[in-house]
Amino acid sequence: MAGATLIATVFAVILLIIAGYVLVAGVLKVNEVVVAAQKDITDREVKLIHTSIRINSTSYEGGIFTVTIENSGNEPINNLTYLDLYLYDSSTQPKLYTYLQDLSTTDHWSRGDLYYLDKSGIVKFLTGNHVEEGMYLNMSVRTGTSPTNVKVVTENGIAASKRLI
Amino acid sequence: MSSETITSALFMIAAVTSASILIATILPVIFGMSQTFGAVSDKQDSRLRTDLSIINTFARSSDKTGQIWIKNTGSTRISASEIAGTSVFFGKSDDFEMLIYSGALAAGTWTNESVGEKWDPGETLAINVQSSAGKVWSGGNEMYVSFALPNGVRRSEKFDAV
Repeated sequence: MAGATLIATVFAVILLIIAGYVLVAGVLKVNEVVVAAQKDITDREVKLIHTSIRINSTSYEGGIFTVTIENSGNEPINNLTYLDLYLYDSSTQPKLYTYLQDLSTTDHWSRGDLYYLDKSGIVKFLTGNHVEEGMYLNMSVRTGTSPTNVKVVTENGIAASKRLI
Repeated sequence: MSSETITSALFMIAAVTSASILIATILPVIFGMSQTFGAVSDKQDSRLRTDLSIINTFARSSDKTGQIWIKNTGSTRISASEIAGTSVFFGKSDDFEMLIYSGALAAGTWTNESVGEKWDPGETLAINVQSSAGKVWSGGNEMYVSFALPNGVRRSEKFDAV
């Protein structure tokens, strides 16, 4: 009788421990995953708040349209691959140009000068593919006509646009 | 003495049998709960890390087509099958419809321009839409587009048709 009670108690305790372990581990895992994802959201939102670009100037010469953007935020623009350029023609339909360092194509924009102005206002040219705070980037595209509107969008969705006519 | 031993043995057998039945019943439930926790956390993770921004929109009344550019502004890659499983709603803001995903653009369908096997964070997806034959809209009408991924992350936009 005593042996049976002991066995039943041991089984019950083992079951309780397993059930408790699974429940606590499950809750902790969900909590950990959600906290990590929320941290990721916060990081993205902080970057979003600190990202800003401005269209500084535009020109159209010899079939090449060039737009100069300024990084007016506090976040560097690190990935030119996902820096989108939209041009609007007279039909108002936008056309997307993605980055490719080849000005002979008509579906992509190419990187021109990357520079900043020092305290005396002198242009200092830079190499590399990172547009840091206060730097300017020339984006050039081969197009048949001068666009009526231009829009530049960063990889996290921050946009700057300018009407040209 | 003998009857006590038999009684003890019977109680012992009953206890072991009961405990075995209990374990056989409860353990699958516990493992099921464990899997549920895993599935819930995976889904939450996917939803929280997924984000989209509608960057540009265009709708032309002459052929009732439109083009929408959407940027993956989240931190997770979205597969081609998830894109194909997306629900797209398009039309006049007071008379829109759900379009069917198709390989080629036709009335009542939508297509996407390829982004490869995965739609990477930062990458832009261009989708083409066309209203059904029965839908009537013209230049200047307020249009509505909504893009809802299979995990429930949804973005919508209103804009003017030309």
